[in-house]
Parts: sequence; C-alpha cells; structure tokens
Amino acid sequence: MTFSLPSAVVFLPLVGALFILFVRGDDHIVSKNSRHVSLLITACVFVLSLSAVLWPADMSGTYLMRSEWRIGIDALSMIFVLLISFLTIPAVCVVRRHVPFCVREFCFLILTAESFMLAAVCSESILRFFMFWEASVVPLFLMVAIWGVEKRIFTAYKFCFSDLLGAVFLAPALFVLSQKTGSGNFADLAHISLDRTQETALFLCLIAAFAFKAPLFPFHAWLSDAQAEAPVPTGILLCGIFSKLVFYAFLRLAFPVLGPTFERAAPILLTWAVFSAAYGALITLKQTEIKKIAGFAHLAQVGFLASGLFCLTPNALKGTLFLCVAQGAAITAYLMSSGSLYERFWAAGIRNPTGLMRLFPYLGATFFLACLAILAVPPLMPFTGQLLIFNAVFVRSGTAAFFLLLSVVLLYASFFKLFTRLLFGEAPERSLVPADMSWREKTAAVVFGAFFLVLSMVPDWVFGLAQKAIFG
Amino acid sequence: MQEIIQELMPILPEMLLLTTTVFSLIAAVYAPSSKAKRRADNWIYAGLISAFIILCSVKVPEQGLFIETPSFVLDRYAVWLKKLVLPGALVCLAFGSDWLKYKKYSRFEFAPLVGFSVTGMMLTISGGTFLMQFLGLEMMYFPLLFLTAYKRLGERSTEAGTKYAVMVFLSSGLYLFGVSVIYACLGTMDFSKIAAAEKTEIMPALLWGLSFIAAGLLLKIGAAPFHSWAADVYEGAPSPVTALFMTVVRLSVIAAFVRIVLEPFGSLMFYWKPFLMGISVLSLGIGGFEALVQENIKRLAAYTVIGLNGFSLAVLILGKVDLLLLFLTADLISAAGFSAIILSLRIGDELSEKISVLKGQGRAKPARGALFSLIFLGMSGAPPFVGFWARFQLFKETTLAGHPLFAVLLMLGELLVMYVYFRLIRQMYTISAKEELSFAPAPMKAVILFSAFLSVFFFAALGPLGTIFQSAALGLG
Repeated sequence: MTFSLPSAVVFLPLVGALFILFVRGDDHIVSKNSRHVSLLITACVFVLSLSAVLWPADMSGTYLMRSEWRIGIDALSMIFVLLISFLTIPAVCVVRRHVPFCVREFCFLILTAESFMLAAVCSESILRFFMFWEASVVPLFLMVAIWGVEKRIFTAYKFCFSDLLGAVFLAPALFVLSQKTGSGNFADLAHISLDRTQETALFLCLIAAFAFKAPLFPFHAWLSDAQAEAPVPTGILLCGIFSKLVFYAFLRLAFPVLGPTFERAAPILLTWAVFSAAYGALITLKQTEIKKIAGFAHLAQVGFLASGLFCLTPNALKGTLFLCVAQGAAITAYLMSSGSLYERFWAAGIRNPTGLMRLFPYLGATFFLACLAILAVPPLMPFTGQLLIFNAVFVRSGTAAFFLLLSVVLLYASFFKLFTRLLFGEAPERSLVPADMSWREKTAAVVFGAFFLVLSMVPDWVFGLAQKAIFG
Repeated sequence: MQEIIQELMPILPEMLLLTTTVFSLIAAVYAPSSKAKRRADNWIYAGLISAFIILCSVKVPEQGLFIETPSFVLDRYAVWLKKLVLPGALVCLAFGSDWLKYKKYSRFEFAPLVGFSVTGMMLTISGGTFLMQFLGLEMMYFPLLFLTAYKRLGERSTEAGTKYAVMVFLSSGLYLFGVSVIYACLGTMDFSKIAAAEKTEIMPALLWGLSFIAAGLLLKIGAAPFHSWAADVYEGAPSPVTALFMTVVRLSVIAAFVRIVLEPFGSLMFYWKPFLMGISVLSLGIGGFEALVQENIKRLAAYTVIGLNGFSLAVLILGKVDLLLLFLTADLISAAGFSAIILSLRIGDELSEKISVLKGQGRAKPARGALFSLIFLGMSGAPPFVGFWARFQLFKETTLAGHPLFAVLLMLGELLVMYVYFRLIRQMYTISAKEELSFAPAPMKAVILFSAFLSVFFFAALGPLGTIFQSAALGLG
C-alpha cells in the first residue's frame, strides 16, 4: 500500500486529533499543548497542500495524485484543499482567546472537521464525498452548541438540520448518480445517460440541496445566526469553508451530468440567486448590530456566488471559484477582528460601542479593512471574482446585472452607515478602556493581511488553478 | 456415540445451555444461601461461553444443517445471530449480577431465568417450522415475564410485569391464530413446504392468517402501532432486563419475523410491501417524536428501539438479509453501550433514570463524557459512527429500488433520531453538572469502553463482515 500525498493531507489532521486526546497535565498545560499541537498539525497540512501544487504533474483535471483508497487531488479539489488547510490555521490561532473551557476537546473537533472536509474534497467516489461532507456536520454542530454564545443551542440545531435537510434531497440524487456511473467515481459522470424524467428529478433534488446548504432565500435563516452565534473558530470553518463546499459539489457533479438541464433553467435560477443577493443586501440595510450586518451581507455574497454559478459560462464559473476562495478569506478576517472587538466590549460591559478608531486604533483599522474585504472593494481580492461574475451576469441578462449592482450599492450603504457610527463616531469618555491588539493579534493580522494583499495584487495564481479546474 | 454427537451438533449449543441452566438451578438450590447466587451465575456464564465456543466450531454448509428436517435449522444466518445473542446475553447477565449486588438482592433465580430465555431465543432463531418457532418464542418469553417483575415488591416492576404478560399472551394468541389459519389452508407448518406450495387460489385466507402472525410478532418487537406497551415495560423492568429487551430479545424476534417473511412467504412480498412501509415510517415517526419528550432514559431507550424497528422493517422490504444483519449487529453494539450507560447513572446509592442526570457530565469528567458521546453518536447514526453505515446503505438501496419518497421519509426519521441524541450530547457539555455520578462498576465500564471503541472503528470491520453477511444471506430464502 502506498501512502500518497493526498492521503497524508487528509489523515494528518485526524492523527493530530487522536494525539491531542493523549495530552496529559493540568488544565492549563493541556489547553496550551493542545493548541500548539493543533497549530503545528494545521501548518503541516497547509505546507503539504502547497507542496501538492508544486507536484511535478500537470493538473489537467484528472486525479494524478491518487491513493489506493480513491482519494486524489485534481485542480478543482486543489483549490478547496488549499482553502480548507489555509483557513483552519487562523481558526486554530483564535482558539486561545475565544474558547474558555475544554480547549482540548475543541481542538480535537476542529482537526476532525478539517480532516472530514479535506476527505470530502479529495474523494474520487461520489458517495464517499457525501459521507465525509455530512460527517463534518457533527463536529461543527458540537462546536456551535457547546462553545457558542447566547442563542448557541438554537443556532446549532438550525444549522445542523437545515444542512441535513439539504442532505435528504442530495442523497437520493447521489445514490442514483453513483449507480449510473457503475464505478461510483466522479470521473465517470460525464459518460452516463439519463432520460428526461430522471434529469428533472435529479435537477430538483440538487437545487433543493443547494438552496439549503449554500443557502439561498428563503432557506437562509441558519447562515446569519451561525455567523453571529458560533465561536469565532467555528464561524471560520462554517462560513469560510463549509458553506463553500456546495459550490464544489455543483462544479464536480451537477454540471457535468445535468449541464443542458441547468442551461434551460438558468434564467429562473439566476433570478433566484439575484433575488437572494438583493434580499440579503436589503435586510442588511435595516440592521444596526455588527453581527447581523455581517451575517446578512454574507447572504448577499452567497447570492453573488450563486449568480456566477448559474450563469454557466466558463468565465463566470472561474469567477465563482475565485470568489469562493476570496470570500472565505474575507469572512475569516472579518470574524477574527469582530471577535476581538466583541470580546473587548463584553469584558468592559460596553453594549453600544462607538468611536472605535479612537479607542482601539489598530483593531479598528483591521476591522475596517476586513469589512472592506467583505464588501469586495477594489483592489481587494474578492473584487476580482465579483467583477468576473458581474460581467457574466450582464452578458446573460441586463436586468439581473442591474439588480446585482443594486445589491452591491445597498451593501455599501449599510456598511458605511455602520462605519460612521461604530468606527468614526464620537468615543465616549470612559475611565476603563480595554487594551488594543496584543502582539499575537498584530502578528496574525499582519501575516493574514499580507497574504491577502499579495493574492489581491497577484490573483493569477488562484486564477491559474481555477482555469485548469474549469477548462481542464 | 460419535455419530450421535455429529447428528446433534447443530442443536448442541442449545442443549448445552439448557443443561447448564438446569444444573444451575440444582446447584443453587443445594448450595448454602450465601453462595447460591454466585453458583447459579457461574453455571450460566459457563453455559453461555461453552455454547458460543461450540457454535463457533460448527461448520455450516451454505444450505444449513437440519435436525428433524426441517424443524430446527442451523444456517449461516442463524449462526451469526446466535453469535450475537450469546455475548449479548452474557453482557446483560453481567449487568444483572452487578445490579443484584447493588440492590442487595440475594435471590439466585435471575441467571437461570436468563439461561432459559436465551435458549428460547436460540430456538426461535433456528425455528424451521411454525411449531418450533412458537415453542422458542414461548420459552423465551415466559422467563422474561418473571424477570420483568423481578422486583416483586416494587410497584413499577409488578405493573410492568403485568403489562408485559398481557402483551405476551395477546401476541402469542394472534400468532397462534394466524398459524392455525395457514395450517388449515396448506396442511403444513414447515417453512420449506409452505414456500413450495401453490398459494394463488387460497390467497385471501393466507393473507388473513399472515396478517395475524405479523401482528403477533410486531407486537412482540414493539413496532408502531403495536408499541404502546414498550415504554412502560422498559421503564418498569429492572435495568438489566431492559438491557435484555433492547439487545437480544428484539434481535431474536426480528430474526424470526425475517425468516417467516423471506422463507415461506417470500413470494408474497408484493402484498407485504405497503404494509411494512407504513409500519416502518410510523415506527420511525412515533419513536422519534416520542423520544423527544422523554425525561426518563429507559423510556427514551424504548422509543429509540421503536425507531430502530422502523429501520429494520425497511430493510426487510428490500429483502436484503446481509444489510439486515449489518443493522442488527450495529444496533446490538450501540444498544449494549446505551444499556451500560443506563446502568452506570448512579448518584450515591441511587440508580437514577432521569435524563437530566447527564447534564454537565461531559464537562465534569471529559473522558467519560467522550465515551458516552461516542455511544450516543453511534445510536444516532451520524457519520462515520457505527449506526451510520447500515442506514446509509439502506437509504441508498431504497432509492435505487425505486422508492425515493420512502427513502426521503426514512431520512427524515433519521434526522429525528439524530436530533434526540445530539440533544443528549449537547446537554452533557453546555450545562454545569449539578450531581456527581459515582464510578461505574467494572462490567459497565468495560462495555462502555468496548461499545465506544466499536462505535468509532466499526468501519474497519465492514469488509470482513460484508463477506460473512453475504454468505449468511445465501442460506435464507
């Protein structure tokens, strides 16, 4: 049996998770060692993923790096492997500040979730992809339910069962597709034939699953809550990574099989996606709390992604893939900075903060930049993806493009309203002002920011992968 | 002598267990009262272990071994189920011994009653005629009646015993009536002859008889809508007896039901399907929804079992014996772990049955909390734990068999079950513990550890188990 690179990428977090269980000592030592081991493991996984890009094989859409157990990495899965392995690092970094108890268990769950998600995107088998994807729901649910804030339990159930309802629709479709291929592999999907009834049934199942899992209006309720109520590391995994896997699923299995059906339904689907984006943006305008604003802004962003996906042109799909990565990184930056802000407010008993730039200049600036990233302000990374999607939507339908543009304007408006009060408003006179960013936070912000800016300035690297993933 | 042993080999485990059970009674009666219980227990342990060893040493051909053709059948299907029943009973007996010590009961009858009941279970599994199956069922259920009411001065236990007695007699009556109708129609009670008989002309009468048999057996396993006795009996019975119900009793009756459905009446599956589909969905729905509102862990166990019955019946519709065996094996592993949890909820000198006792236990004792969580995850069927694999296969096979709507209903039922167990896990970690649990005794600790381990690593055994189950499936039907 050969133990290939994809296997190492997939199983290393699981090995780390098991290792953490054997860490001994008093609570403080166990927490510290668990965090350090997790960080080391996630860093190693990321390095391994990067080395997979540099592998001397041309990644032309086939599984060149594969192991005996049908786990392999091609260009499409590479993008998601990098996304998962990269974003898990900040998730582990923020555990120290945001997880007050049972740190070892939390780290165990993070690594398990990472391993399952990596296994899902590396799986060549349709059913294994589904199994690993759904398996990752369990650790995420536990993390939200146990370590979340305020309405954590309700949120955890809402997330878990919205996702599993999506799975209820997805599962029959995958069973049929897997059987039709004979081998059960993604690679054979292109050769199967379906009659009209089967096509329609599969299409409906896949769209229902997408609506729950992405999510789109009116199945979106879990997303904003999960972003607000989950602990910051889980928020990163959930909103930055997990909710993007549905786009992977669609690119991997829906379009190769049901391309013509999706093409026929494209106008309706595009309208739905644009409506979802506009709805998210409109609701954002009404919100006054930071958490809620970001939550609904994320819904609007999912609408953009879905618009790109349903345009079905190669450039739009490329833009969607790019925006998936960029948005995942932007949300991570946002969750990290807003998490730090909230932690300070609560510690100081501040409920309605104003004038943050004066209170915490460094943290305020970081938060400001993260918000700009979510808004996809040029020249930040998400802008490039959004531009490609706009272009594709405009070619398909001018009206849809208009409403999509309107959503962007509404999002800008709601965020600028927030900035004037929260960031640049009058700072109240307080005797007790919490400290600004610690050196750890500053280092994390600088490293993450540098990475983000480099990718914003030189998007070709991700584009190259997206190009190979879409065009083969 | 050699020939006689060879001829009796298929039934030797049952004979041995029965003999040791009788000896356990004699040994206990003639022993000083302080040693009676231990002697009886030891005899039954010895009987169960030696029966298991003999069972493992029997070479069973694909078509099976027969005694008094075809009254007693030992095919690979029966062998595997007995291999599950014997260790399952051993575990329950260990629970019982510990429970009797904990409750300071000095009576010795517990172990012999378990011995008789297990012999009945094994006969039920191997019954090749309605007569043998009925004898097995009665031999299994009579001792269980006494075991249910073992705390004879306890109100709940005697009430449970009475309810259980009513259920057992009613179900046996229904079963017998059904068998009589079939005998009147076909003139035989042998499964093989019934399978070969021409049934077209007498179909209405056959279906009439069959529906009575099904009602009798479904009442015994507690599938909805025949489930009303289950929660009360599970709650009132002593906890080790509840463990028996959850694990081996249910398994034996399902095994008998499967044999009837697939062997003599396999050709009537067309008529069975809608009936079984309805019962399956109803069991899952009622089991899931009722489990949501329970505060007593034994009642929760009862409703979970009702839900699990729904899954087992759904597998039966597909006629996939290998999948059913996978289901029953996985269920047994999780149910044994769950029973051990029930028996380890001890606060001081009290054995608590309240679900609320679990609150905060994950935070109070992380290792124990993790083991409990793994067992609950196995019960819930969340991927990739023990309960998941069979259910995943079931959803897949049901969809591919052309029943996507039924598959979706099953999946929704699965969501309910998951919700119930996720809630238990959440309670263990989100709230601080009010009461401290005592240390679990050795048998419970061992079973919890073993069950949690299997819950995680069951997937590694799927390959070899698949081969065994497929070969077991060949012998049936």
